[in-house]
Amino acid sequence: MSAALHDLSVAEAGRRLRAGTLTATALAEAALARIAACNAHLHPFILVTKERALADAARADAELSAGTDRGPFHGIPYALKDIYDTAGIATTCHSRLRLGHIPKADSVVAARFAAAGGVLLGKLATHEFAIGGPSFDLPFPPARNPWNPDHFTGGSSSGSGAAIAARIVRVASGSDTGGSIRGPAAYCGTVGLKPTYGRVSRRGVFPLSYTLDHCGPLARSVEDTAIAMQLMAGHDPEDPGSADVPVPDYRAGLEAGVRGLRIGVPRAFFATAPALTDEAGAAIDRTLSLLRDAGAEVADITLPDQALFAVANRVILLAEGFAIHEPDFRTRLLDYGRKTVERLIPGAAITSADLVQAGRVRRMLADDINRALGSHDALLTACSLAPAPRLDQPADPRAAYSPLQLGAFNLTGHPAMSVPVGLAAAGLPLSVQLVGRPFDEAMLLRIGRAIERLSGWEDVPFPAISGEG
Amino acid sequence: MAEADEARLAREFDALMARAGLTIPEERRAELLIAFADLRTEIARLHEALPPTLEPAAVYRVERGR
Repeated sequence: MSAALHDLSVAEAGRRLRAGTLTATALAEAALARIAACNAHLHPFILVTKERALADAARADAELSAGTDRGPFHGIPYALKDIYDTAGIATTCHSRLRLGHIPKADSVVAARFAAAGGVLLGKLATHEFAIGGPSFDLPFPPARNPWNPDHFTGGSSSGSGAAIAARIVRVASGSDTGGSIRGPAAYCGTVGLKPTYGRVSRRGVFPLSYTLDHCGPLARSVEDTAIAMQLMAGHDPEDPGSADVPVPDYRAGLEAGVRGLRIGVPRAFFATAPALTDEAGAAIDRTLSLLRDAGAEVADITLPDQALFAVANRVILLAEGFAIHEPDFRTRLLDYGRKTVERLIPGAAITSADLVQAGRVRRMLADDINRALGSHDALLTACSLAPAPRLDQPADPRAAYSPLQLGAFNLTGHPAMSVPVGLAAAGLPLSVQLVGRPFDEAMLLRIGRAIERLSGWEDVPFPAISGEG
Repeated sequence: MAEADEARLAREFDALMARAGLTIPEERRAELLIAFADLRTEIARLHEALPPTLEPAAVYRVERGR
């Protein structure tokens, strides 16, 4: 049976585009029709750039017909989290404070997607300034989880997760300061890759925390993620955090399997957490068994208490985030959503000693992770301790990302990836998190691809949206 | 938390907000106080003894031409 256009992988769509059996315009029109069918109840998009999409698609069709091939993303629909600047297109950060803000230039990532011949469908919902949400007191509604619209998508790349799970796009951009790529990926059943700090330029992306922010992709499959990373990765001399490290071919080793790889499991990170559900714990154990059966060496390791990583991350995030928003907090506090204020105002209470101590703990913990990765090719731990909670579940103002265990690797800068592994009894996705050596995203993609295949996730049908049979 | 501790924490919170030049609406003060109290408790962990030579992660490095 032929796959529907919205289920074609990036690679398969590319093959058909080049064979002349599919046009970028048909792909774009199908995606736009899908947005029209589901955006009113799932809200992944806060702005649909229909004219731009059709123009991008027409250009891709003309270029491919003329023999000009910009590579594997040529003619492929995508969307951007609305903290990524887009020249001439509103970039609001999902906030009343930025309504009507029209950037003059593209963010580096937006420019790279455009240069690769991608087809921009629009801008995606986020938490306000990538921290305050899910909220109903903002100018746009929060995105809803396509697996069950009563449930949370995770945040802050909430529209990115929802747009992929709703099968509108295969690839979307996200940003991750304490788990904002991996959390929505885990809750929405997509792959989410937070690259190494410095791997992807942050220039033109509204900051939340200068030393914790990472840009990266969410995508439907590991191969789609590898293709997106190939576009996004690379040195940017104008981003002070950008690293000048060669970018490998991310697809080259995808099918290499896991035989002989050493995978460390910091079991105490998640196994002792009260929020861990039986289903989430069993999904991790099942994944480890599959990897062991496929020839990987899997062993438990000991790392410092996960809570120490979390508090150091929180102190740095609050200090840096508060510094960014302090002038507007003084003059326009009530224009912010309630959750943004709840989460960032405690930054006013961070002392200089708190911040220095967090920096010292950060170095110590990064060294601990590096030591663990000296004798292991990757670590495997929890991503979420439970499936996505309900949207109306009362939020704990103290827990911006709980029960997600993600901020540790923003603190240390190591690459980390969320990979879906199955469905809970309630029909919501379960996932695991892989962590790698600095700049070794290729290893995470290789192991992630093995998990995708071994777990059977690649055969799990994604949820239907309204009107679908 | 003891009543005296709560009052001390509330005074500290008010002073910090004033120092930052922030005006917190009365109806939002209670929820922010909870977040503040939790943060102070969490942060205590960062102040456990560390080796004096352990430097922060973001140590300044001079590079040629930068």
